[in-house]
Amino acid sequence: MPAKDRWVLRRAGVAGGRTFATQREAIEAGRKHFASAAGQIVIHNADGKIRAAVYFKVPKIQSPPGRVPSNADKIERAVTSIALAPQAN
Amino acid sequence: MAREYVRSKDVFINCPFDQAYKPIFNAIVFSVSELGFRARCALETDDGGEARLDKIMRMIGECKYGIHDISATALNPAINLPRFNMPLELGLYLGCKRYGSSSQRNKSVLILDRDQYRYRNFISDISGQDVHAHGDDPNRAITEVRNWLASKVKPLPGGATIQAHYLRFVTMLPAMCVASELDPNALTFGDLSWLINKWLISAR
Repeated sequence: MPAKDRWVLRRAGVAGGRTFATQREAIEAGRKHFASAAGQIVIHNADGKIRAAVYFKVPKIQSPPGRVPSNADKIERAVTSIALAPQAN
Repeated sequence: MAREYVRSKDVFINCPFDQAYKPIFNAIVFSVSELGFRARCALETDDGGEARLDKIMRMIGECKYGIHDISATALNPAINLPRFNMPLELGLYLGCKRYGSSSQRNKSVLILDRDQYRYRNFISDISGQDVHAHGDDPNRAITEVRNWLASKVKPLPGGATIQAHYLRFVTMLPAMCVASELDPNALTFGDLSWLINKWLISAR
């Protein structure tokens, strides 16, 4: 995901992470991490919107049924801002 | 006649839609979604041009999998009658599976009730179907859904993993609703589906 003029690779709900000069480098590091582990990489655009998700040994999440609702972008912004924020243990 | 096809990732959910049942319903939708399937139910569209029964029958025809909760047998105190929609839709699903085309015959069904053998007192004709109990417990419902789908598709996350994720989702749900300008007590099925979808992509 974007972090100022760089890209950061981090776990959802955990602060910090590793920073990279390019998105491609961040994605590659994520792929290496999941070479032997189960999980998923979520790739964001520069504006923070979800661009794609790549799944490793976990089921691919299907899109919801029906038409995309008019508030889908608002829901995505709300969910990602809360779900990705560092959580207290 | 429209061309018929069965979607291998779609799961038809036939259950009560009242507030008391919401914890089980939400847990089932979450579980189905995390397992890589698409939860569908009669609430998913609000097309006034399509009769409700037509919509339900179309959906039943499209879904390879069906979850049918027959636990709502209480009498409505105002009219002293129970709801019959769930047993009706279960019957439609079983009929589709029995009399439909070859792709319809490959359908799979999970029947849920509060207790495993209670159905014998009110719908004994389904004896021989495997009825599973959720005990009005969302976590048990998650495990039953997971174990049923894991017998069809592998590998899938374990029930405990999905339960832990569901707990995190439910904990974050009020804040996500506020930020989305949604009322957590009046979420539509569409709102719920999108909240679950974005959460599973972002945070599991």
